Amino acid sequence: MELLASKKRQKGKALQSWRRDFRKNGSLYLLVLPVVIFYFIFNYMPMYGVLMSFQDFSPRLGIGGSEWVGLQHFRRFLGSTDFQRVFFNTLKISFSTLICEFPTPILLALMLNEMQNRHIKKVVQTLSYLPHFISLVVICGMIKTFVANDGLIGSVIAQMTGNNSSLLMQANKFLPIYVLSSIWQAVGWESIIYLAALAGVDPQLYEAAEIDGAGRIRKIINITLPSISTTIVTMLILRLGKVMNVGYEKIILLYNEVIYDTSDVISTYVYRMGFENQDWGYSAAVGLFNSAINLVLLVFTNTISKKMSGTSLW
Amino acid sequence: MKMKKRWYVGSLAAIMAAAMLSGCGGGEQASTGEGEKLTCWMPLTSNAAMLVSNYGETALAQELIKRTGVDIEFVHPPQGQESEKFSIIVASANLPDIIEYNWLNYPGGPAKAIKEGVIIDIASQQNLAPNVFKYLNEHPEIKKLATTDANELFAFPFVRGDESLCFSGGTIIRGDWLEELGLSMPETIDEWENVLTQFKEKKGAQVPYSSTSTGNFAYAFNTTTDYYVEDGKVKHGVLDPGFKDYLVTMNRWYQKGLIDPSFATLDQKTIEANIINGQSGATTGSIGSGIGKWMAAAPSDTYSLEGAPFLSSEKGQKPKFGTYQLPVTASLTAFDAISTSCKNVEAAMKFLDYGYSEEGYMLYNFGIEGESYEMIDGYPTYTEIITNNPEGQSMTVALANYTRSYATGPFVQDKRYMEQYAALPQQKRAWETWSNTDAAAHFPPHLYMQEDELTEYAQLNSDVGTYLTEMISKFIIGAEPLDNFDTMIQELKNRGIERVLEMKQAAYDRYLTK
Repeated sequence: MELLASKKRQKGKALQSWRRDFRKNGSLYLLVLPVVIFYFIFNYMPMYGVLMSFQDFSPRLGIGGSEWVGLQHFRRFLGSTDFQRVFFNTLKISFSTLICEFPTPILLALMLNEMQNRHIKKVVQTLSYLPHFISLVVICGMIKTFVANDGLIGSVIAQMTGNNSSLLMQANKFLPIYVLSSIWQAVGWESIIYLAALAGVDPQLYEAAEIDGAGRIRKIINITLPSISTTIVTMLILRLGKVMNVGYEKIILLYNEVIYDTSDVISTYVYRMGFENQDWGYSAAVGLFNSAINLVLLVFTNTISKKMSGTSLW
Repeated sequence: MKMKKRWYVGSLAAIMAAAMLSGCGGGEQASTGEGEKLTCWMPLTSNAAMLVSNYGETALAQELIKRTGVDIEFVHPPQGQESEKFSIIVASANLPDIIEYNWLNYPGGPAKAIKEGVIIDIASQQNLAPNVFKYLNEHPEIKKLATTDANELFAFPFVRGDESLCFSGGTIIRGDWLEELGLSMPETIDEWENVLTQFKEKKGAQVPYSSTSTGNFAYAFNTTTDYYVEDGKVKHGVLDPGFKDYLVTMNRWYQKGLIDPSFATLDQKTIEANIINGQSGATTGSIGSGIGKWMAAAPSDTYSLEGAPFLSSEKGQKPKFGTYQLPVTASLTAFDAISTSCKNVEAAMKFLDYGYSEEGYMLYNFGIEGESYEMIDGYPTYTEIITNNPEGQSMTVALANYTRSYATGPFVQDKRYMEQYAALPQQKRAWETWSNTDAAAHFPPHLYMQEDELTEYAQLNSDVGTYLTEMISKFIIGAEPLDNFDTMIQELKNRGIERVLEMKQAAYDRYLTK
């Protein structure tokens, strides 16, 4: 009884303090409102649709009217012959991209930071951002042209290997094409956040290091990197949470049946099942499976990071 | 300076807001029953899209509205997003009155669309659509193709009024090169190999045969790359004895550089550029958008494309397979269904039924008499507005303004359209050559699975289909050694190809006894 009353009191207190805070900072709450609404509408409301993955879904009957089938779709996916292939391809493409692509914007940011000539720095920055602003369809069109058997890169490699077909028809070339083009697309844009972090490093630290006789590399290792390590770890955690989200658009635009072996991933599989076969329920189930793995990975990395460096998302 | 900047930021914000709004709007709202105006949701053909942004602006639609007295507003999904938008439309509570779509693709088939209350069974109200039922009753084979297993008529179908209209595509070859090299039209696989080799060596064609598909060459081995029917049995070509020989040959051609090494990544633009510029000497295509289009873009006067005959296992024999379309063709714009939300079924029926009346037949096929065609000796002849448009429109675009015979729609297509559309002698010859096949007897009709089989069928069919296309391409490029052919057959069986055939067979039997 006592406990309940104290709980009630506490609750009342919390409400009261919240009210006071609201009165004081009302405009700030107003400011955050659009964001809350955005996330609610676009990230929370669609979660209702997850129910589809337990149904034999028909768009006409809707979620309310479609027949429930329990875990049938999940059993079908795990038992399907394509499961292993799409699952391991997803991991392979994802981790390769992560390992190769993640450090590049940091390197670029460090290099830009050391650059003295402002004009050259601006030019380099602008050029490296550029691919980010080109539509993905155009990017993929360019990639296809470059690696075609008579393309800029394709013809050179054809000369060297003697294999005269488009690089996109050779299964072992897909991963390098995908990863290298991703770096090209993202390196400039992703370096912005690190540049911002670098701008926040106290110049006094550098002056002190100079007095102690530290060279450039020393300063980078002992001052710059530790100063932005929090940013790096945060970015890494966020990135790991998306490991299973290999962008299906890019793969769909690049792949073909000859290289399904190395290029078919969970998200392209979901796309094919949903939009080409109109098998909505199954498609949703595979997507949900994908998200579940993402969540596990995110929690896992966050815990490790918390233990090791004290940096974490929550 | 500061003012300028502020103005810039302001206008940027305005532009972004406008972009977002227009992105959301998209002009796809179906109007909510005011008066008698009906709405019709339909994909706009790319030919019509070159001329108008709405089907209602075409001379044909305006004439149809005038003659039937039924006022209709047309709404179109963006090109390339038809099936996604269709799902959204179907899920909405307020359906458009008429929905033109490939209803065969409705998950579970058209019968399920009727059962789930999306569209109505037109056969239940025969009196409102006398013309279409008159036509179907006179043509029982067409009726069989256009109805579900339970004899429901789910839509006003597009019908090819003559068997010859079912053949409009095939293998295309450079006729002038054959002549120059003193070669005859290839009719066997060995002759083809010789012709392609000579094209490569003597005409400098880097990719003698450039097409995404080599399926036409399988016919020479008495097989095909797809399902077919023979003597009342449903079969798949891959299980035929000749299929391995087909793959062996294609693999050899690939290694010799006779077929385009990039066939799996080819897009239509590259294929067209290849055949026009002489990079290739043979490809696949159709009478109009193949031979007609490419000859018009030809770099020289001597350039000539011919339709090559389909292959058969023995020279001179009538080919068993070919490029064929059912008289009731599956196409995005081929089936006009009436939705369960239709405000005025009678008016909608009247509008759609008109295409099967005598006047409607002429209107859909030839347009307006005195404008787009004239009767010369009892033959509806297109006028210069169509054949030599004063505003410089190509024939297909001009046809799109007055007719729907160039594509599909709720009417019966007339052979005399094709006779005039295939204006070049090469086109006429190709049409005749490609019609010479027994493909019609081996092409399966639209098959409908039963409700309890749907999930299993969808799963197995896609598992088998994806694997097969993948393996065929891999065998051809040599990524998979041909010794593994039997392993592939075993894997196909593991994936359930036999069960798929069994289900298709049952559906085919239902069709035959309907």
